[in-house]
Amino acid sequence: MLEVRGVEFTYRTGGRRVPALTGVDFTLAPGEIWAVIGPSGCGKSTLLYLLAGLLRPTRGEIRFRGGPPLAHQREIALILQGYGLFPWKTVRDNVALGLQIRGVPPAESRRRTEEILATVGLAEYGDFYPEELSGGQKQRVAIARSFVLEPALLLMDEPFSALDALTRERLQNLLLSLCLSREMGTVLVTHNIEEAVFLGRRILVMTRRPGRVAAIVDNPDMGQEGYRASAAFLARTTRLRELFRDPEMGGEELGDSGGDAGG
Amino acid sequence: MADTDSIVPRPSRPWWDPRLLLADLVSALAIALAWWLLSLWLRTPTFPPPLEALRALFTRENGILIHFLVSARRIVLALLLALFLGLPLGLYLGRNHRIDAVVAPFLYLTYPLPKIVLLPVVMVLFGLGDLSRILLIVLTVTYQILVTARDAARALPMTAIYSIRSLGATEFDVYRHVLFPYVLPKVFTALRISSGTAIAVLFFAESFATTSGLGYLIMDAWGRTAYPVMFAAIMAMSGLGLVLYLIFEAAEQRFCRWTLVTRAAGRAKEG
Ligand SMILES: Nc1ncnc2c1ncn2[C@@H]1O[C@H](COP(=O)(O)OP(=O)(O)OP(=O)(O)O)[C@@H](O)[C@H]1O
Ligand SMILES: [Mg+2]
Repeated sequence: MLEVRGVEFTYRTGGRRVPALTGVDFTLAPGEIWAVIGPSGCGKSTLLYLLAGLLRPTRGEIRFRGGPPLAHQREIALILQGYGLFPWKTVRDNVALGLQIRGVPPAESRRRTEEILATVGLAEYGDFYPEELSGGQKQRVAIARSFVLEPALLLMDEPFSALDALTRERLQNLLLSLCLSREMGTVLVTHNIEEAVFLGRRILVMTRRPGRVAAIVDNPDMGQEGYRASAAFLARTTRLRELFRDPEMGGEELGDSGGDAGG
Repeated sequence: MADTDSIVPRPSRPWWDPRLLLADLVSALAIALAWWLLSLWLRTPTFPPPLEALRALFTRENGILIHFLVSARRIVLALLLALFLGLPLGLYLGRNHRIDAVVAPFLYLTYPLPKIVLLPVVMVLFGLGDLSRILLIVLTVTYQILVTARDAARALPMTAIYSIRSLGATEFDVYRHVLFPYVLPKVFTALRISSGTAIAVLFFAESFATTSGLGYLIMDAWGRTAYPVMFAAIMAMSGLGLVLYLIFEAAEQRFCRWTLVTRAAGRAKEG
């Protein structure tokens, strides 16, 4: 469904050239969840912008359902790092915005919006403005805003990072069931090794900037009942953590910070 | 801190808050008192006490209401026109950097020019009627709105554009849901500030080759040495400015309710 071939990207701002990604290759099958993990500044957000069609690769090619991804294609949803909510719209209007843009009839839009707000536990906050919410609540609004669109491809930039452990697990489970039941392809950027192992059917490990693919870890047991508590889960997180001891990978930075709020 | 974007600091309360209304009343009385004391001290017919001016204000024969309405019509039309010209153009320039690069130098070169000196040119081109007087105000205020909207639109973070575009937005959606609401509070601030300038331009435009409007009345009463009428007209003119200011403030609070919330939240976080 999503093919990434030899993608390079270099930022050009005011005469400065910042290479952010070099030689990224992978193929995502329909309904698959990929977790992307790598040190800070290695180009993870840039990769998502490319996949969403917001940026064009400097070199290489991305194909989504046979053509380049286009932002206005409306089958791809993106949750930005830092929520991307609009402070001038209420929670309800933020969540309904994508439906409104797609021309969904107001009554249906309203129903789906209320439904998803209830799912993320914000049913009473429809009339609030984002600035009146806590960080975790804002994050849930951002999640609701993408989930409500039922996209074919969901791109998420550290969507669960500001949540408490309980909410985080609930939303991880929700994401998992949505992806599996709707065959929704997902690319999830995370800093958290447990999260990557719990949600990623494959785990794409990136090097320091300019980001390359260091490894693609297969994770066939993901999605099974009770995986979070299994020995296989522990073994895989341990393996990943060891991978990050390599200085090329950002050294200790990521390998150890992963355990703070995991699964 | 949250008020740094507005030159005139404003309380984050609704304008009809009784405490604010009381404060307005107190300041009005203080000004009247100062005026009265000054008139006692000067003791000259050229500076009548406030009550005399007030009486002139409500004396039907002076026709102040008519002149007020003429002036109000001119300035309201001018401000609306300036808004409809300056806001879309400013948003467009803020969003299209290539075109902005061509237009901006011209804009900033002509921006400091006091448009009021173009009065003779405008009158030669558009005649001695209302149109010329309105256009002179439009010329002044459009610049302020345009430059404000442009600068504000340029400051929009790229992630906000990413955010809306990832929802499938068309270019029109970007303007409607992001750029317009984002710059609106700043445009209201520009309108409030330029309402003072607009009144000044109005006065100048009305003091020349016309027989209607408060500007004319002030000059005419001065010539007739009808000082109470002159002061009444001055009061009416400042009243016009005040009403405009309050309208913009109320409109901002109605259409940008989120700024009240955001400001309150910011204050709470500062402690
Ligand atoms: N607009 C930009 N202009 C120039 N350089 C940029 C721009 N955005 C990002 N970069 C650079 O590209 C690199 C990758 O940025 P990116 O935001 O993709 O990193 P990231 O992996 O998402 O980091 P983090 O985990 O901290 O979110 C960074 O080193 C940054 O310096
Ligand atoms: Mg990032």
